[in-house]
Amino acid sequence: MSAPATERRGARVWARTWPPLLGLAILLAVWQGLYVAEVRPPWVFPAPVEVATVLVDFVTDPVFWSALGTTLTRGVIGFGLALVIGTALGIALSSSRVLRSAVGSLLTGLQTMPSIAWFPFAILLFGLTENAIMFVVILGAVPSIANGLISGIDDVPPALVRTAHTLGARGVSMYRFVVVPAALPTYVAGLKQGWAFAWRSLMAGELLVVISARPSLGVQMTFFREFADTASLLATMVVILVIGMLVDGVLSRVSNAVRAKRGLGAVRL
Amino acid sequence: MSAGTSLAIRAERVSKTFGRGEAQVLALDAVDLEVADGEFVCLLGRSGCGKSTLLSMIAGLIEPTTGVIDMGGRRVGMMFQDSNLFPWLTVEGNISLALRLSGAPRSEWADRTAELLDMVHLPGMQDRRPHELSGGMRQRVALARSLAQDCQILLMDEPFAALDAITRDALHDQIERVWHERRLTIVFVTHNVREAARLGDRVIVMRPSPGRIAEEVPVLLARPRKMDDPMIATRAAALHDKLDQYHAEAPQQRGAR
Repeated sequence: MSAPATERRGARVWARTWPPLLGLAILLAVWQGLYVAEVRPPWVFPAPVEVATVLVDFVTDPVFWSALGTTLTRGVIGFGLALVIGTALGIALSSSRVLRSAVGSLLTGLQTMPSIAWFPFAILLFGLTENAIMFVVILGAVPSIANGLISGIDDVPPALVRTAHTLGARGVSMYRFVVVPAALPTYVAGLKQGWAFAWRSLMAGELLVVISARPSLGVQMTFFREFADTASLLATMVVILVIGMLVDGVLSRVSNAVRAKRGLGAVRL
Repeated sequence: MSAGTSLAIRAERVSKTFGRGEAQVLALDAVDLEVADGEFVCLLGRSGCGKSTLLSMIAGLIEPTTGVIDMGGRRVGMMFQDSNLFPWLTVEGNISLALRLSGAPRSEWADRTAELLDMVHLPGMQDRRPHELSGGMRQRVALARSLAQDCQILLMDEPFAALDAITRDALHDQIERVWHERRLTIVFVTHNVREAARLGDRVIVMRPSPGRIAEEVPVLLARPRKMDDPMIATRAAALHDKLDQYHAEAPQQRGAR
């Protein structure tokens, strides 16, 4: 690559990086300011540096890694099961009018139900176990995923279906070659929302259903609160935020790639 | 119609009503239509005369309320005003999908796609995506896609209505050539009198409320034709007068499709 091209690329990367960096810097400055002003006592409101130190310590802490592993495994399995169930449910509801009018509005209603409201029931059903957490994680994510697929299929342009019919697509081949690909962008948007709900439900679950023998991020936070270790608590929260953002970022990339291929996407004039 | 040519399409006493009760609209009233193999027929009429409805019934997209349509098992392709290319597929993907749905073996897809793109004068466009093409190019890809199924009858529902005049003229030349080379039977719906006179062997003039065939006008001009031929302008003016007349006679009714 020639030098000017490298320079231009550098300029582009910088143009994309400085606004979030500035935002972060302002946030840290305000935080530091509040710390210095001692709005709250320093042992409940630590400085940014203390939290950063804890984050660095986490890297070499086996308990942290095992907690992170437990939480991530639950997230992946829970979201994976929700993906399978939500997709199957979405296909069933969009292909059966009776089923749709029977449970369609209930499914949309469930989307607005705070998942934490399920926990007392889940705990009675499954006890303080892994299953109680999974139950709520799946319940949290399934409606979004199913609804994404359903509205994706609803919004398939009728003209494309008619055209495909004249080309000989029927039944399964209509679904496989036309309906499913046409519904993909909305489905992926549903997956993004489903992930957000799954991750929130998981955190609520780990705080409510504390299984002491299995360290998780939620168990860690419970300990840190009980020992008033605010710096470690905040550091764990940073980890949770970053993981949520990373997964969302991956799904956003998938979504943008799917849309860009079709000439869709944000155009700013 | 000369004796000895076989019929590609025979529609008998075909009617279509939309809606029910108070809101019922008779879109098409007992229409008879015969199209010979290899004929280029234009269905001409203002909006609401049921021409698109008739075409959709020939395509099998909607069922006639009464009457029968027989095509003797001929394969039918269709084009619309919008190209309706599948936006998630490349040009090649769109054509290959049509080949696949018509049962062509995978080994032939690439060669036949290239052939079809040559035919519509878009060689080497395999990897483009629909949104990267102009309206005229998209319609040519849609034409190639319709022809991929090896159809004998091609139904066209105002396929060039959304294009500019220059592009439309070029596409008229192309469709006339493809029709000739492939010995297609074409039924072409339009509300444009010049287009009907430019393309059709026969122009079937339709009248609204309810949709009926008013009369059939043969266009006996040599091919290939040119849009700026004064003979076409004369024919078009005559067709225009007929449309005005039938439209003025029609009882006022809520518009059918």
